[in-house]
Amino acid sequence: MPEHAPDPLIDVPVDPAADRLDVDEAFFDRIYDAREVLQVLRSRPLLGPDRRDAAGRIRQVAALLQELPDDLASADLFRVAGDLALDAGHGEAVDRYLRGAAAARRRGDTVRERDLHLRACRAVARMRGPEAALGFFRELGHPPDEPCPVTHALASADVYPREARNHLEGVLPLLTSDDRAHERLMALEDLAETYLAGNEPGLARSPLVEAIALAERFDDAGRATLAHALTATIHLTSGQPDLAIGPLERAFGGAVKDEDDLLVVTYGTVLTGLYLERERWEDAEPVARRLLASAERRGNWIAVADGALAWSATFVGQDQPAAAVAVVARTLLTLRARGASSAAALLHARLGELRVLMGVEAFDPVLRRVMQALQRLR
Amino acid sequence: MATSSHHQRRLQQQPETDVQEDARDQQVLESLEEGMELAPDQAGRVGGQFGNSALAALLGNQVATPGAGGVDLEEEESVELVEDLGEELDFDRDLEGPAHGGGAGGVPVAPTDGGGGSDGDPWDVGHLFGGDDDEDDPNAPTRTGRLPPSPRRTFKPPTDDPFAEGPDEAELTPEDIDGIDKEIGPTLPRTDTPRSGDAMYAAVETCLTDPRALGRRTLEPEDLVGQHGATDPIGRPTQIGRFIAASGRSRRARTVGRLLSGATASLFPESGGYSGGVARLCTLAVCAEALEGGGPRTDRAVSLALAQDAWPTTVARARPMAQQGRLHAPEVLDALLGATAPGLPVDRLPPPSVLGGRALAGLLPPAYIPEVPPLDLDADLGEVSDDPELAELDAALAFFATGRDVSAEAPDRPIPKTVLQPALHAARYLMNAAGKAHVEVAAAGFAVSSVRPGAPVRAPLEAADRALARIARAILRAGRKLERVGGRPRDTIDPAAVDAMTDELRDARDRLVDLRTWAFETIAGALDA
Repeated sequence: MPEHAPDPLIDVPVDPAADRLDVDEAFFDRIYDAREVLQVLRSRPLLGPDRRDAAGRIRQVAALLQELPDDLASADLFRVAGDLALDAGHGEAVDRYLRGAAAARRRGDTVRERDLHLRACRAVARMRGPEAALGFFRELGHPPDEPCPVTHALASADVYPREARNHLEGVLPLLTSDDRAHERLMALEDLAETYLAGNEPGLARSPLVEAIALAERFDDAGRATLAHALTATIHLTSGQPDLAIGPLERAFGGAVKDEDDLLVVTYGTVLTGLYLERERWEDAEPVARRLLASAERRGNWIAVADGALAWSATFVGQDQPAAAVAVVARTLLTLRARGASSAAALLHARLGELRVLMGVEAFDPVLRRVMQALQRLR
Repeated sequence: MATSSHHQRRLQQQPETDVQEDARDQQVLESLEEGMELAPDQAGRVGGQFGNSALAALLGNQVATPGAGGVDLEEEESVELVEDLGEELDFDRDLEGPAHGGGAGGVPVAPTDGGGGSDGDPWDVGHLFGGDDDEDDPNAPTRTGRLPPSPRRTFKPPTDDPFAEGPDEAELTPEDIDGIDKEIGPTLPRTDTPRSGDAMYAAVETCLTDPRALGRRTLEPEDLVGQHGATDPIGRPTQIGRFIAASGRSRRARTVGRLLSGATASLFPESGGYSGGVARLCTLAVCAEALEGGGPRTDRAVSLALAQDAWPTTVARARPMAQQGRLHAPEVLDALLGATAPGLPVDRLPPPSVLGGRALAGLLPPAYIPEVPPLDLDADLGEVSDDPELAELDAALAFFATGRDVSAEAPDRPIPKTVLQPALHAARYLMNAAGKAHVEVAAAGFAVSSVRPGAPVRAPLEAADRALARIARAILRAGRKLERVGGRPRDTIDPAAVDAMTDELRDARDRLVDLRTWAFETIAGALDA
């Protein structure tokens, strides 16, 4: 009985075609293929197409390891699976690293074991806070001839947040190989966040530029969206919204390309706000409509109201108040039908504002006509 | 004698029966000697004079600890602790005088924050472990680690203030909304329909109930200023953003939180109106939660982060209980709820909530839990050169420069109290922190109960209460041992023994830090039960 909870990525069933007693050509093919795939996982970064394919590759190797256990391969597979989870901010990372360390220990590979323990420390610090990882990290110690200097420095940055800046600045020159590019990208983002936390947004831009370049080098527009969004946030929070539009457009574009509705809504709502402020109605409208569609798919009714309000604002800006009223009223009725009263209250309030803006004499007949039209549509 | 005159003053303020009981207790305190036993009823009353549950709990199973079987302190040790604490705290009250030492109804009050009068922190242990030196130490923090309050001035607002706030003309009028309602009907509150998708992140919706409050006739820049509070349509999403930016696990969520809390003005274009800006902020609040992930657990933790009344309410409720020596977290919570808080055994509670724990920690003022510094018993000696001639020259120069006699620095010189003071200060602050932790966990339980009435929060509070008693006992024991080192000949004290005492304090400190984290996360976990 395993002591750990089953991991949906790693604890996959053995290939149904496999027969424990049958050492045939198919068996050797499976071994050969899995070895090739494991080599890809070991040597290629979790960026771009390799990131998207990683889960499938891990499952393929894990299935063979169920059939033909190999501690060394398991340790490496757990490390990659852990890195994948850590990058996504998932708690499984800790378990995967610890299981990998156990495999390395069975194999007597102390360096791999230490590397995986340090990674587990890092994951604990990120998921549960630095205090939670401190005891384990101290137990691991720091020998003068540290066998895992890069991993140790990365873990130190997470376990000792006050010293993170020094650790990260020190480790970046060591993180140069392509097989650790995804770790370099995370370290760059960490460094940018550390600068931001220290109220030094000017310094944060340089690692973000490098992070974007790195993600783009590996054709990972989706992964670059975070750096673009952080850049935009720096500009917005430092009172330079004009400079934020470019990075936000790229972040929005990356989210659309990745078909990530949540990020489309997140970046879309800020982007429409900036377009509307600059009276760029033609730019605002398609973003608002895309935002509406993504929000509806996510079941985010407040964002649906937000998208409708942004779309209607483009009509207000172009002197078409009747169209603005129509968009708001129609969405309001839809949201009421779904029981989304909070989102509906926002639209209700907007109708009140439009009534003041247009004047009662102009507004009331328009609303009446819109309601009649909507009832006919039903 | 100052001590007896203080008690006479206190006795005069008490009702007659209390006076008799108190006098009897005082006799007990004064007549106690090492090895004497203390009857349970006496112990309970004496505990009341300490104003600190951690200290009261040091009396072990002689004092009734709600929901606990008491602590396993040896009786002999209890008596010693009572004796020492009684003396120290009585001395504090003498120093502070009747203005800070006498509470309503003549009940002895907890030592206060130096100028706070009866508003002193309920957990403060006063001048324990030689804190009276602080008066001479300009760099010493106040007993609670805060600056003393500046003297209050009375301020009379001018009667014809031209800047006085009048009615807000930019607010939507009832007619504005009524006109809409005539055509499309009112927006009714949401019924208890199940939620799915991102709609499960509902923490922000508390501020989205009244359409009138969500719109404005005109949008002015000043509409965005000073919007605070958990029900304000700008304040609530902004606070959610601030919490996630500080405590979120996902980097994407933190980025959105940072944007939400720091870039409000850029999100309010004029063409979208006030309601459009509010919708944008609320959308970002929902997105930040969704990016953090975790579904309803995350949403409840976020709601918890907005329960900002929990701390002041709990402190106000804890103060009179401290005066009665009943500062136990479960009791404070019961008093706040007006009933016994529901409970489940700790092992049957849902898993601890890390985000909820951070939300609770964020509701409380920053904790001051000092590190325990290492002690150098020879810190009173100057540096002596290895060269005997140079050493002699240094000694002569020191004598002429400072008037210090080198012959006084003999191996059998008494260890001055100043050498021990850093660790003793730390011990006192740790004691305060342990007492404060009772109020903190009670506030945590109250915050959870306010977000989800009926949440089973009592069991973790009881466990924390018992653990805090043990921690306070360890601090007190180590502090007393350290105090006894003062004044003894240097050559009779082994530095390793002193190191062991400071290690005891460090161990107690680490346990206190861990206990707070455990308690907050476990109490927050009760939200999901």
